[in-house]
Amino acid sequence: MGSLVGLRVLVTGGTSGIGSGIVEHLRAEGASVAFTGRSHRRGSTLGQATGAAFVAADLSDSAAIRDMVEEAVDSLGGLDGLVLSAGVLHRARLSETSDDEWDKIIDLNVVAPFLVTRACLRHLHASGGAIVTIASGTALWPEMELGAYSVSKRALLSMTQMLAVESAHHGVRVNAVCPGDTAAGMSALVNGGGPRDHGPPVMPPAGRLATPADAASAVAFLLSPDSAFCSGAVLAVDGAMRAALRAHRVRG
Amino acid sequence: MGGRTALVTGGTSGIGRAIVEHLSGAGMQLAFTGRDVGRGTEVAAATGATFLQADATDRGRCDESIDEALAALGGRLDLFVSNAGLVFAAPLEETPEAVYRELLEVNLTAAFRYSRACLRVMRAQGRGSIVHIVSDAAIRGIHHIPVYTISKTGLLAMSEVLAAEAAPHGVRVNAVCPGATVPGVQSTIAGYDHHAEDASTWGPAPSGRHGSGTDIAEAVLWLASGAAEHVSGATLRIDGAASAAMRAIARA
Repeated sequence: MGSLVGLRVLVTGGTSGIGSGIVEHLRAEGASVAFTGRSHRRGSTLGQATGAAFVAADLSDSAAIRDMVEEAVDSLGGLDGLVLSAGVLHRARLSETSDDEWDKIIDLNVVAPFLVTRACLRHLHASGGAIVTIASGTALWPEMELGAYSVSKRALLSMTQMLAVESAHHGVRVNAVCPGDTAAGMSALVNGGGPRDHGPPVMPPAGRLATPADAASAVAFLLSPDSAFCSGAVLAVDGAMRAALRAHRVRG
Repeated sequence: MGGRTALVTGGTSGIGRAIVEHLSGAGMQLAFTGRDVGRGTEVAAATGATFLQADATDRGRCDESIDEALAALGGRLDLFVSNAGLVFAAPLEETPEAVYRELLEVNLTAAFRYSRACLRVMRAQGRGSIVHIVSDAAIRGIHHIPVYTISKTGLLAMSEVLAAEAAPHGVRVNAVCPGATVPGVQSTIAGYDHHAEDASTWGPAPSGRHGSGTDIAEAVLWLASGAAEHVSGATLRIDGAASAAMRAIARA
């Protein structure tokens, strides 16, 4: 039992990747957790393993989002923390991104976090709680092969900071975690199926990929009283991947 | 720039109108879009540019306007200026879902869709220039207009990603970020008339004045010219130092 005993937290996109790592970590630190996800099977498995409450939700439907939030808050008995981890990845250049793919990325990565937040705000105002958004390293420095995804995560980062300003007088803190390439990270792809093989990843200067636990411990810090004056902050968890432009050498 | 061709979105008022006037004055052959037929006809008569009625929320009409622009411009497109935009002033907490979606559609998605189509044309030509009219809000964030800030922040990322993608094809993509400009963004969401930007609520920049449409149009002209041949992926703030350093005086 750790630093989050007594905190009641809702995690979106908690059934896989970074999100499930967050659910596990928050539970290990003593928080009460409800989490959403698309897969009932993974949701019930993780729920049984961790004691967190799985709430099924379709985050593309605003009415369903309101119902999901009320169900989660009822099961938790209130809300002290919201972690917006649900998202969708799409590997494509902008010129190769269709309207349908673009719309799904914007809907799930930019509109859904807004809708979930809106539904949670009054509960968080009541508790003086905290919001953590899971943005991405691509929000800090976009990637050409993740065109629309980078755009959506940059917009999500902006939403985080706008919310931080307008929520501050309610005592609600809003911060962003920007994970770099994460082993067993994003599994939700716009075009369906599992992650595609794009060859070996470019390693960050730290020499390894991030793990879901790396992002999860940053989230725990930003939910805890240890970060009481952190709001509107952007925390890169990327092993220095985006700390500098690393020149592309052709020789030597 | 004599004889060069350009398409400008949102050319019937504000900064867009100044761009149409300025580029026409420099001898370019122009087509421009806008919602208002009366204003569009007036600008067309004054400048000799071709007016194409199109609402940025109407994807089908936007697609047609690109074909019509190419027909009017003799099948060649040297410059695309993505300028059409909407503003909305309210905290996120009070922002209706429909408004959130519409600002993303106009300020981000329409800009993406036009840019994608224009890049296709320019790649075939082996040259071309795209300029996105973004905003100071995309760099520092303006919390009075959070949805606008989120959409413009995404747009700036989009401009950068597209620049990386377009560069090997001889196409340059740059972003211009105006500060408070008179006349600036005149358009808001239908049914929310009181949210149109009112320059009187903004203090002047440290330079002692607001920006003008001509300030922005001059930069667009330069970015489109051969003098800017190695300028791509750039963000050019034109705001009289308004966002250069934090000032204690906020918007009224």
